[in-house]
Amino acid sequence: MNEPAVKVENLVKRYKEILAVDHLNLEIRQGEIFGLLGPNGSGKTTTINCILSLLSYDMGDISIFGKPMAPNRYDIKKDIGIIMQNVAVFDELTVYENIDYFCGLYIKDKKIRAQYVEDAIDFVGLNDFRKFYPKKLSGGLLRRLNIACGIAHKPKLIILDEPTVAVDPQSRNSILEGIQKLNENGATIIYTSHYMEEVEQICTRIAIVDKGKNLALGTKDELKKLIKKREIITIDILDIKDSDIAAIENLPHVYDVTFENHQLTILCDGGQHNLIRVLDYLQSKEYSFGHVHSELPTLNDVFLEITGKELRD
Amino acid sequence: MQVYKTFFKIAKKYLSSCIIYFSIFIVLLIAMSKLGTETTNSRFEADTVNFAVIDNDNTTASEALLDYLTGKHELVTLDDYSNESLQDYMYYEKIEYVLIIPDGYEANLLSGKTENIISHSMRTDSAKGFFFNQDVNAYLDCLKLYLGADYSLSEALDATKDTIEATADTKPESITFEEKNNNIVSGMTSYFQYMAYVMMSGLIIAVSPILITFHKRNLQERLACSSTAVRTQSIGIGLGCITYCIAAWLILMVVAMILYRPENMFSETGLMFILNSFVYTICITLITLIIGSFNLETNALNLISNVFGLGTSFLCGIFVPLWYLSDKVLIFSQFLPTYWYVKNINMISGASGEAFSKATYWNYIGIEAIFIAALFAIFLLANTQRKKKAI
Amino acid sequence: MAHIILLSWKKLFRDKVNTFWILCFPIVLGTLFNLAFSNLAKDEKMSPIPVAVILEDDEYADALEATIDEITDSTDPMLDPTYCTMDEAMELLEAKEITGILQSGEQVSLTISSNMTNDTLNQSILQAFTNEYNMQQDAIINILTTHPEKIADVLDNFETGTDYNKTVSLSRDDGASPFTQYFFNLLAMTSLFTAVGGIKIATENQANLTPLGARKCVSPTHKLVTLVSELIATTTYEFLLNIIGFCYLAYVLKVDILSRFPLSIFSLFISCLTGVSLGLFIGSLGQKQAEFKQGMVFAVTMPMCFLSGLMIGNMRIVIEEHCPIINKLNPAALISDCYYTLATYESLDRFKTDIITLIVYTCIFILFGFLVTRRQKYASL
Repeated sequence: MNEPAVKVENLVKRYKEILAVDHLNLEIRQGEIFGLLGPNGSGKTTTINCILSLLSYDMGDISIFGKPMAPNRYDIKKDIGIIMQNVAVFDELTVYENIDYFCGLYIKDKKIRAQYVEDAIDFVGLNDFRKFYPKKLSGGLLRRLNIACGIAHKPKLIILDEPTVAVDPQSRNSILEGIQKLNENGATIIYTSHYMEEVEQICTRIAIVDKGKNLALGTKDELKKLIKKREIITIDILDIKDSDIAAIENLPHVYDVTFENHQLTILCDGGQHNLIRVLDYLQSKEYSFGHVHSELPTLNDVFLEITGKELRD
Repeated sequence: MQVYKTFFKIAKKYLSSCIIYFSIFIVLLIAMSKLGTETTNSRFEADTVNFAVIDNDNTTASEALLDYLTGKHELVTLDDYSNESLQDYMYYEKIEYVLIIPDGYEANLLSGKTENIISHSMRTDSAKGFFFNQDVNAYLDCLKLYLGADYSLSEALDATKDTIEATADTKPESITFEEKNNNIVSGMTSYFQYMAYVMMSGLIIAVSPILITFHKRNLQERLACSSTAVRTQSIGIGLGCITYCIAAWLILMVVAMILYRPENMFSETGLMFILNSFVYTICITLITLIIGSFNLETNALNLISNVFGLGTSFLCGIFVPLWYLSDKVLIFSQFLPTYWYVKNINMISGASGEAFSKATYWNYIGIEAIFIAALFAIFLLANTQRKKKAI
Repeated sequence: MAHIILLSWKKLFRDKVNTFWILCFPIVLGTLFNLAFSNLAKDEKMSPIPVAVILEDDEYADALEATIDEITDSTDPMLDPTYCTMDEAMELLEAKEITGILQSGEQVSLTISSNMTNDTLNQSILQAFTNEYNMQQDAIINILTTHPEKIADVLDNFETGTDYNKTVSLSRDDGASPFTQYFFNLLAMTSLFTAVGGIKIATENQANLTPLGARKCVSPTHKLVTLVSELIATTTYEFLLNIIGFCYLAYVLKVDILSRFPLSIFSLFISCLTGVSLGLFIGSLGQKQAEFKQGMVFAVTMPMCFLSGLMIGNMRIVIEEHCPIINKLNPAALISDCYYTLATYESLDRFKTDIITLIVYTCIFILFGFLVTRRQKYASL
């Protein structure tokens, strides 16, 4: 039971000159929601496809539930549910039939399958649409169908590859809630996305990948601790002397101070009561200030600092 | 202009498949025009027939008959006279006719029981057997005349032989009249004739994917939102398509130049062929545009192009000469531009028996032009109509 | 497996556009073929041949005139004579208004125009007529000189016109029209077009071609199971559509394909199977989109059908002369040959060879398709 759900060691995948995955290591524990975060083209999907043995790779070892993965390991494949980036359903089959078809590839027993298909339809809330053809579904509903097709057979490991691309916020929320529910029911989940908020919202552990490298791995708090920036304080102020700026910079934990457009921005690298110390100093110098704002770093900041670029390109 | 340019950007994407289609169709066209001339020319000539004989009588009379037939036709001796192998020989045109002389031929001849005195089997798809029958009939008619006049068998046979010799040198005299259109290289007519089929099937199959791309729903909507008027867009697509088709036509013309020499192509008749095919190309382009306006899948389109290409080719005299078609079919065919295109070719080459005249030529071109106008109207109508509805 | 077959049937059936066109194809083309050949296939009622007759001023002229008048008076006259002078006749001939000029004499002479290339049939008939006339005239003159007393009997006989020569058919089936070939080829083309269905199977099972393929790839169901199930579903479905087309040709257009119904249907099935597996084969080649490969099906089958004589009827004979191996290898030729041999030959030897060759093709295609799609790891997606 303590076997990791997925273990990727030293994975290397090359497309001619491009190194898509560069000595990547991952260990996904059973029962967690694992986020794979990275910008477009960072190698997330390639990694997933390698884990699934869809792609051949140049180097590395992949094992799932402690067993080495191979294309003909049907015993392993049985326990995996995959939701692809592209909607993969048959246009000619109805919602029900589509789910039934894909479930049928996993579950041979008719009675169990019928029950599972019902569960899946319930789960994604497509009850009113079971006789619909995919072409008649809206983008969000189509995504939900795509998910239902992937999870109908109640897999132990579910891989979702950007399941929320081009989905309205409502559908997205219901999808995210669904994922959490699946997790509560005992499934291990790998979730790739370039939407920071989603990952932050649901994932227990997160790996940040870029250029095929695993740059950081941990819970979101652990990740945030990785970076220097801990707190950002902005204060609206009419004017301030350079000497005072220098003085603020010398306060403990403060490592950068800028003043632009009547706004003072102070970056701190940890510690507590930073805001109070700054405000005390300003008051002592009898500056009058307006709006004061202090925020803790987001994953976006983590990402920005680690990869040196914005998440959304 | 923007739409026009886009047309070619999309066309570039489909270039590889287009090249494959065109090369296949050009090879087909060359093969067809080579074979087409061979087969139509040899079809009804009453020349010698390869025949086999099963002689179960083996008498003087049967030998005399064989003697006569061998003089006019080619007797083929076979290894195997079983029904099966005779069929095989017949199928592959080793022989075209099997004459069966039953036992008792001579006896029946003498007793006057001449009805069905012999039997035969022949290929049904060529007229050669028919003429062989004529020869047999003529011989037996003649022999019967002598026998009826109380000649003895040997006398009658000899007399018949004499008669045959006496009439043998009456070959028909063939006169060649000088005609204005004598610059036609053999094969060129067939080339232009089969070109109609190739253009029809080829263009629909090659151009439609480009048109489909334009009509894909998302792009369609985006275009509809743009500031370009629907009509301008239709015309842009239309012009792009026409340019494309004319380019294809030019390629076919270059191939024709190589096959039939430029001096023949630029002769008066050559130019008449060229203009005729050009006008026809425009017709086909418009038909392609109209078919492309319906939002169909590739597979359906391929089938349609085949139905259309093959169907009209059979109805409009490309694969079966117009003069073999029934009048009822011809009434229907007149509503297809291909009919007028082929009719014009037949007239220029003199194949149909219609006397050559420039006025007729321009008449037919005029009818094709009317088709162009009508098809263009349908195209514009179909496009504006559909766009109003789709969104 | 049954589950996949069932759902595949549903998929195929709901693809209305394709179903419609696959059904339409043989029906529409068959009807058009039938229209085109209707005139050729029925007993050719020949229209009278226009001919100029020049009566020279001699004793032979009367006999010729009498004969021609007799012919013209019959219910179905063979000739449409114009009596005129030589000059007039030449003008008519140049204007292509007549087929030939008959000139009386000891031997009737025939003049034709070499410009009228499409009229060779009528020219040949005229030649045969002239020939027979001359022979009989010569015979009668001979008899007159040697046995003048018998001439009355002879002339009596002369008018009866006997059928000496009975037509017997070597084939099983008497009334086979030469145009049946075209319909056989049409059937061959329709069954080969089922390859489009095969393309779909191939592309939907390859992860590098469609996301659906990827999804199937990661499932624990073995590739062969899905592939075989879909092959069965597609073949049976397309076979069913083809049967409808077949029945239309057989019962509505009365094309002669019913003589050995079970074997004809068997050929139809084998040819559909060959078609679908050909599609599987083409679909497994390369990484191009399904649309491109569908186009390739047409690009491949059209030349096959051309070579087996769909467009130019005696194509196969020309090939037999120059390169007979093509006829033995071309699937379209093999399929249409199946129907042909069934209609023509009593023995089934050639039919068996055709069917076996087709089955060998099918096996090669399917095997290749399996080998390619069996692969489950891809260098790129």
